[in-house]
Amino acid sequence: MKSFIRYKIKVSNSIKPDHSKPDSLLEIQLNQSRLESDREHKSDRRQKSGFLQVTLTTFVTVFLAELGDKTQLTTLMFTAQSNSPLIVFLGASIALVLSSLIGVIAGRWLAKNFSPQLLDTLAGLSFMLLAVGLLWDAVR
Amino acid sequence: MDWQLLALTFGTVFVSELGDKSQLATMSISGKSDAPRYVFLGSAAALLLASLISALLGESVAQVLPTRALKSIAAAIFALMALRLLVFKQDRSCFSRSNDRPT
Repeated sequence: MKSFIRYKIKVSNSIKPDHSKPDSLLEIQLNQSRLESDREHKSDRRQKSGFLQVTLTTFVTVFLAELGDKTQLTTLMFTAQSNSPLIVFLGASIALVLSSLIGVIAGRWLAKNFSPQLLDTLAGLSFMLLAVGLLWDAVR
Repeated sequence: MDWQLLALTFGTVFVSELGDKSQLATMSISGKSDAPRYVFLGSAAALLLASLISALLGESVAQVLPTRALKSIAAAIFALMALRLLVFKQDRSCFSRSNDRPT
């Protein structure tokens, strides 16, 4: 009898749920979905801040590079010659948007076809070229 | 609608813009970035604003905006970025959405 009771205790001990492991399929699924929503949330937040950061930095960079450029001088000349600044602005806008689209596509093509190391060097050289060109514009 | 003027402006600006500084900048940025859509957005917006300013102000741009000072600042920024890439080999660029390498 004694031994039987001891046996029972042993069995009930081993049956006791182990909380370190998820014990049901439902709990596993719950944990998984929680993890997934967490991850989604994080990437969402990152994307939002990334949107502002990338757009703003590009905006400032290109704006500074473009200000007082020869394109602007061309636009200016056309505006002065014609009496319809709206049409001049429209034509220039389409051309500029198209040219920046080409720039972005060309950049993606470079990124796809060259190694990151070579890309770093190329981007560095082009930034250097831009710096020199802008300095030349400022001094002239 | 003066189509001829529109086409003339488009053609002249487009040709003078090909391979120009701003396109070079856009190309380098988009090559280093993992978010080309936003690069396009920022670049297009900057170009539009710059051209709107010149269309509105005409020749008085230089009097209203300190273009020389702004250009010097931009030159310094570009030189800094070039140094970061060429000398210090730092890859975490401000044009990437994440700090991972753009894929």
